[in-house]
Amino acid sequence: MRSGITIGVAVGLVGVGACGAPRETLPPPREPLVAHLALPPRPPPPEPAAMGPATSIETFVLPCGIEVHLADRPHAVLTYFALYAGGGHLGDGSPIAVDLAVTYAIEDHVDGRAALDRRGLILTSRSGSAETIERAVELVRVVGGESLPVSLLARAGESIEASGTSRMEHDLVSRVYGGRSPEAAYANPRVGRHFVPAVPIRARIAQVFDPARMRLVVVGDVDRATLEAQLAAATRDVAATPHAAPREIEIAPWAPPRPQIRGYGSDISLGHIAGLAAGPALDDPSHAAFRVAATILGGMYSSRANLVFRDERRETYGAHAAVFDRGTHALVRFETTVETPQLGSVLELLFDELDRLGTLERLSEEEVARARRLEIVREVARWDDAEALAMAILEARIHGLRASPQHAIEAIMTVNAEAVAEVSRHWLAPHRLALIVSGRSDWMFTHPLSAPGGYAAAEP
Amino acid sequence: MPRRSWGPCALCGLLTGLVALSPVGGRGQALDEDVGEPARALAVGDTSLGGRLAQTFVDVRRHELPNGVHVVLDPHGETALVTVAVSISAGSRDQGHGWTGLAHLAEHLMFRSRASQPSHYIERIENLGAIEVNGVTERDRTVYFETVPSEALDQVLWFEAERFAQVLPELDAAAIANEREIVLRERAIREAQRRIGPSLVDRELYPVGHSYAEAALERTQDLAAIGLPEMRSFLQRAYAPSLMTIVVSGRFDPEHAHERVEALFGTLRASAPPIEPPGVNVPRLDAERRLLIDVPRATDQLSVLWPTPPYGTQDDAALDIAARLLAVDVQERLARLGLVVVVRQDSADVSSELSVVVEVPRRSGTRIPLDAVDAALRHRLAHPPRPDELERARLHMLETLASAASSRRERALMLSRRPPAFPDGVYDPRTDLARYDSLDPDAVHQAIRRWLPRDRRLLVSLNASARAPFEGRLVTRVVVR
Repeated sequence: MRSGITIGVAVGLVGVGACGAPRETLPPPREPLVAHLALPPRPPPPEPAAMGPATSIETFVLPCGIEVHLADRPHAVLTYFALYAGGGHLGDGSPIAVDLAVTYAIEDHVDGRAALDRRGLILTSRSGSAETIERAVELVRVVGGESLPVSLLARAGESIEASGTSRMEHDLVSRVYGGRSPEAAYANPRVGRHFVPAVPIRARIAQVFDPARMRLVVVGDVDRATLEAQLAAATRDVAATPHAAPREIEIAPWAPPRPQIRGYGSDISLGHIAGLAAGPALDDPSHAAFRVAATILGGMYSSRANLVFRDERRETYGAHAAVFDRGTHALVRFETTVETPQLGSVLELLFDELDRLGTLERLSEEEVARARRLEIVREVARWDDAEALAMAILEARIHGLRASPQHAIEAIMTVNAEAVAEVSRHWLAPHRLALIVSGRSDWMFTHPLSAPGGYAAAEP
Repeated sequence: MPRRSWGPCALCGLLTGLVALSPVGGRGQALDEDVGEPARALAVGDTSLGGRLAQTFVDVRRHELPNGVHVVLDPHGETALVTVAVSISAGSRDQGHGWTGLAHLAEHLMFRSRASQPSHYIERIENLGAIEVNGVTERDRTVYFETVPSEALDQVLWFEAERFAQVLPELDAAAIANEREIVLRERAIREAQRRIGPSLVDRELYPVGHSYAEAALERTQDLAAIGLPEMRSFLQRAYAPSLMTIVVSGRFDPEHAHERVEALFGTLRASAPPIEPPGVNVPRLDAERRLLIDVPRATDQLSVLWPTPPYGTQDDAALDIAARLLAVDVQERLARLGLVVVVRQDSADVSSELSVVVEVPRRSGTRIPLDAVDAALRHRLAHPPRPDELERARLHMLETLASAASSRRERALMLSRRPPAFPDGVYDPRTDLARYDSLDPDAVHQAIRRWLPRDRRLLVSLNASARAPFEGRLVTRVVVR
């Protein structure tokens, strides 16, 4: 029983030293520790072919059209599933809120995760139980035609509110894809508040969740014959459709929108820089060099940008870059967080770094070799991890590409400084990077930043 | 489950209470009551998921070097990669009053080691092909790790041993000043992401003097006060060989690795008495406490928190199951509103926390989600879980453990733990699995009744307010007795 209520209003809470007691006295230091052994000789570069077992992937197509890929992992404790279920905001006019609502609804229903990006809905799950194959069947049934339970739609009528962060995020993406063609795939921002009634959701499912576009990847200790038979039985009522080619995603010929930088103000003292640029597709001969270039830009802790921003200038906690493959093209994303007044100097160094990547004389063979080696090890690690492997196969198959770690590793091994400079000049020239910069409002309004392409006035 | 938040893009992450709260004036509880004995180890040969998972650990070897360094060798896998983790059983709980940020700053300094070489540590270790290089400061420990091609194991072991040996001789005031700036940057970013200072909730959960009371804090003035003497003192006492655990996990020759680890880490010697780990101390709230905090975030949020028993106890496992049951219950009740619910038992060595967190659209208030939490809790306090519910929740937990054990890095981090509640104070996966295997509906029910009382908990309502200060503003604090 509640016997009394005390109400207090706190004042000046945060950051106050929370402590009346004096600071504790630490024991004095003594003599240090010392080790004496010599550094062992540096090992030769790893031999990728000897680093892991080849992964064999079996593929079959169910009568309804769903394409299934099975990577066998004998004795694996868990089995991983990844299902590409179609949909996605690919410039076909459907409000993204509908797809999001369906995503949430399905995630509630299956024991797994659902993620939606502009390519479509991807469901992932894992199982260690005796009902492993039933888990895969459940994933397929829930999106395979008319079996989506009515109860799922209850949750779909929800509100979705984009945060300030995602407004900036979608502005950034839109500037990459929509500079010339606002209707281009990926170009539509997902901003605002939406209420989604069930009717458009049903229509959306009928329109997009087409079994012939679905791809299911299974990685684990699973018998193919059993898997195929049970999946076929579970989907025998699903209407077959002609097997469709992977959806082609076009992007407009690259012409960065002007002005290049868009600034946002806020009441937060930190400034943030996010950059996005397009690059060659996964099956393009220059893709491996693009990947190594991105690693030099910010894909390793010893990247010059990270060491200079962080260790020398102490302006950031770190600077990072990563590549995302998108079928017909790739994206490189760069970001860093700094105090607002340092935005200008950090941007200046970023542009210099992009210029350096495209200048052979300014690249060192050592950093190219280091980036190349890291990318090889990352590729090996990706194919060793069952969960990552399921996603890697799925990503490749969504875009109709061959899933082959050996192919990727061999391509990386051929990359040299000349290739990095060439691909960087083409794709990573400073004026090709779309930038969103945010920072403290009073500074952003009074300190326009300079960049090739210009700067849009800060918005509150 | 221990909290896992290994960020991919940070050179280190401070693992401290995200939403840690607890009672002012609550009494501490030495964990001697009804949390159960550590369970028996799960038998190898069992064909259940737990049994098959236990089978993957049968080749793990443990031994202790004469200087006290604990070594774990875990040969497994077919890919020629190996993860090395070095864990120090001292973290932000061990800094001493008024020295917040000391453990985190020490972790940063370890990455500045030049280890008798001219170039940057990170550059040289990445030259070996090292990926997933990172360091993490938790409340209970500090851990460093990286994954390299197997043929680089000798080199990476040398780098690890050398930086632990040389960190003190190389230490200077300039390095401390440099890393202090970076730690402050990191703190700012972390707070920007979290949008609430940890002090607001920790102050309610942990009484003054509790080893977690200041563990999540990094006060600017404390960081500024850290000089060479303090850092040297901390490193000597915290980075003592007897507090060090080295894990090698992946494809490698165990005999060779044993010889190398012994040669490299066996030369480390203690130069000061090591830090004494604090004992178990689970604060008990003496009333329901309610905080209303304005924060500049996009949505409102409700959190309901209880202090709970430490990692490795039987009740800790029971509360993992309870968290899963409550998550399903609350989610079902809120499904039509489309609200996101996260329930978790964040396990730690001194005291754990069970939290229910519901994200709510702005200006919707937290009454409806709190009613849903209370309804779910009433049900669970009144009734033991049905056997089928228990089995589903148990399977979920085992799948979560199996997933971690399938990841080379997480497996190494798991094996590097030394939770005091485990037999001999070292993490043993088969004992861990057996904790879940032995749970029955009554054990889960009793744990819920014992640790999740409705009248002794902390409620935190975050109110989205664009005008709130960046670090949050406490509007009201209510104690309901």
